[in-house]
Amino acid sequence: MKKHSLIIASLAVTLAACKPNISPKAPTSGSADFSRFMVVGDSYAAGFSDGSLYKSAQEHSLAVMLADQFKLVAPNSTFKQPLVPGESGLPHPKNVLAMVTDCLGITSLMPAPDTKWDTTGNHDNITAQEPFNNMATPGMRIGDFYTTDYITILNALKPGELPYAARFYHDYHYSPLQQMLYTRDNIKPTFFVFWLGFYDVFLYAQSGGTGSPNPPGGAPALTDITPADTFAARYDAIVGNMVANGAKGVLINIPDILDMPYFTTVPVKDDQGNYFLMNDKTSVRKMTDDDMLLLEMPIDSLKCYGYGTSTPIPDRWSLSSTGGAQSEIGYIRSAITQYNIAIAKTAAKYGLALVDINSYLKTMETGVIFNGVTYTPQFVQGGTFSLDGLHFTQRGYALIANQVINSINKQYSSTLSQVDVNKYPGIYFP
Amino acid sequence: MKKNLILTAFLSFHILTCFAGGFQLNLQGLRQLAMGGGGTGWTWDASTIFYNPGGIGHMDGMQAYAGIIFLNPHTRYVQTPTGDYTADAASHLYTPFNLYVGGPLKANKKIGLGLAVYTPFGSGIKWDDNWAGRYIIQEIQLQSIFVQPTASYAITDHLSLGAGFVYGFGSLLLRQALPVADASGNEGQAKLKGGAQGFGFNMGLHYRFSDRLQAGVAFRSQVNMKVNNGKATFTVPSSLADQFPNTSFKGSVKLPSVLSVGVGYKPTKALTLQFDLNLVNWNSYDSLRFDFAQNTANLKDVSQPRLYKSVIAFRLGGHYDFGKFAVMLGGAYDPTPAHNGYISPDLPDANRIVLNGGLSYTPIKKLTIIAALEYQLISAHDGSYDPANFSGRYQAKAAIPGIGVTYNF
Repeated sequence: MKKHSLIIASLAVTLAACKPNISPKAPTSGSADFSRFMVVGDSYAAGFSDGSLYKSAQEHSLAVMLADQFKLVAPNSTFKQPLVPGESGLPHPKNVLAMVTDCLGITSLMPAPDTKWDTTGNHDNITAQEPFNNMATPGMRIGDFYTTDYITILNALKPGELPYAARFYHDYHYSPLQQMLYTRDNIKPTFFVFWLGFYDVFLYAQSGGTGSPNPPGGAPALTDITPADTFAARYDAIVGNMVANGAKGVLINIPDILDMPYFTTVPVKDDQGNYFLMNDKTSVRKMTDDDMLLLEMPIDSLKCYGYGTSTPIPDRWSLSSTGGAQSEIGYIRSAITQYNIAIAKTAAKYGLALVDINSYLKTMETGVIFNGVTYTPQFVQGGTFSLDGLHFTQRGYALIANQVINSINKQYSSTLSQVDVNKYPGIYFP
Repeated sequence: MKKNLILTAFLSFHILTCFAGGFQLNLQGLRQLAMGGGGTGWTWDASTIFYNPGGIGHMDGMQAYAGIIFLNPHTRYVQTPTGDYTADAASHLYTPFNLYVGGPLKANKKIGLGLAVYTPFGSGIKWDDNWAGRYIIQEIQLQSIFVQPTASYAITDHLSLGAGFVYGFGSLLLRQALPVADASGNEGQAKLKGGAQGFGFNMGLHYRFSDRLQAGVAFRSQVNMKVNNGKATFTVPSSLADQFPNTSFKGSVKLPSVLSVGVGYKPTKALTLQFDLNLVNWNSYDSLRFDFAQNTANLKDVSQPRLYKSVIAFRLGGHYDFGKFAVMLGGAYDPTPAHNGYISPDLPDANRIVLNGGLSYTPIKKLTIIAALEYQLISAHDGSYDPANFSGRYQAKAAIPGIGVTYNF
């Protein structure tokens, strides 16, 4: 009997010796404290994708990806977002890829609005679920941050499209700043992510440069560029409010929006190489390779109804390069450069981590490989940008999340883990 | 103006790194396995047809030999530098085997004949279909069986020469996820499957200085295993089906040549010591090509550079004879041919230290039963596969038992 048990014991030892026993090294938080986390931002931090905000994209938002990694070092942390109830989206049905037949009768794989639109509950007020850790609001600008009655103004702009902010702003009359301070005092964040500034320049670009690049008085209308000095002063003051109680955090700068598929996908000439005619302010001229057309323009008009030939493409759908630094494209580039200088200064001033997402996205031009998948900024097949050509796929957001984590680790000597980019949804094909 | 969305470059095809490194199986003889894997210098039994065909002339007589080895490797991947992700490859039992029959002819002892059937190369690993490295590999199974008719000639009493012709056949199965998902989020998959064959030779020179000292040199040639009519099957969303047509493919894998030098010495009547060097010419393996019969913008032929280096393995063993019983002990150092940056999850190879032991029993004069056990120490190691930007920490463990029987005519 004794002999037997000896044999069994030694067999067990032998077998155990054949099983791998390594485990991953646990992440650490370094000098930062991730136990109470708050996010201030616009559509990018909210989880906007495919031209809309929908539940599963919010559930995999950049903010949630970061919160999940923080939870590994701060197990008791919680993270709540003002989720929309449906999968199709707010304010519009999201884009999906579909086989679409165009005005020429050619069927091809194109983004098209989802035929399902589950709007039930989109406009419910959910302030009873407060506090929300993620107050990121699509469309938010530094230029609007001090504007009271923010929701009413948004409402007046797009009647019938009750803004997402109306779901969760504690007070209908609040300015974004008031909402931020209210949330801050409620959550008492130890760490925050701050990503704003995109819309301060994008709304001008989205209008085809029909707004003002230098609006007077520091109060930009909704198609204007927020003046750089206004931006710098407010950005600093807003972030100052976030660090006032000792919170640490990370600032994300502004991508070069003109590299996004929204501006790079629609060609400026036809298949034969003839450049389209465009309205450049008051004059009509042929487009050049340096001009840009917006992805949202009526493509059918270009294909079948004489846009660019018999009818010059309206100024509203194009960005002009004529005039160098004084052109629409020049104003956009200059604003982004100056905003990013201001963001870097603010990060240095308060000792915050800075994510230079602008530089990172430039490196994507040649492809970034993650675990065997190559990501590029190309529309649809690049896998990085979603079907609006402007926001990221969830995999694209995960690539961003890893850049944020790298910056945090560097600034705070933490060892937060990388996100597995490929575990999130990318583009879905019919 | 057409604005078709041409979808290009989905398939990065990081696949087929599987032929990396140490998928050479040094398991062709039980007694040798029990002594670190060497057998070029000392003629133990009919397995010399593989280890050194020159040794056939120095066998005591005709012998039949059969052996089987049970290989059940366990491999784990963990996320680095920190994380919470762990993946274990599925457990799978492989059974390399060897059959030998041969020896010097009774009619003319100068001439020896032999036939060998053995499994010199093989590999397999199956990860979960949804694991983090799925775009590099989900599953790979490689099998090869070599058949080797062999003849030897004893030039003098001391020196014997032998050579054999090698016919190899085998199979390849490979599955890899494709980064295209359908409307429900199901990901695509590429599956390559095919039979392969190739030819080569195995020759050796065996010198018997005395009853106490023997030495040998053997050279096993490169065998170019060709797949001529493999089947490539792609599972993709229907809107991309024309970009990923199911098609046939051609390809080849050059299994490396091996030059071995060995010596055996008997300091006492019961004790034999042996030492082997193997030079494995993995550098012959410069690139891997797979040509698809039908190409599209997204499905292009695969040609991947391989940066393998030739390696030298050292094998040391001892054999102590107690009469009806014998005890063997040995060990080996078997370095990986894969360069840093080319350690892939289809064969997360690393330098290995091998410890061996075994026992033989001869119940009746003509019959011997041999049991051997190999334990492979592959220390946990960080590995990256740079072409796919995939890195992590790997640990592989295997205890490899085998059993064989010889019968002398």
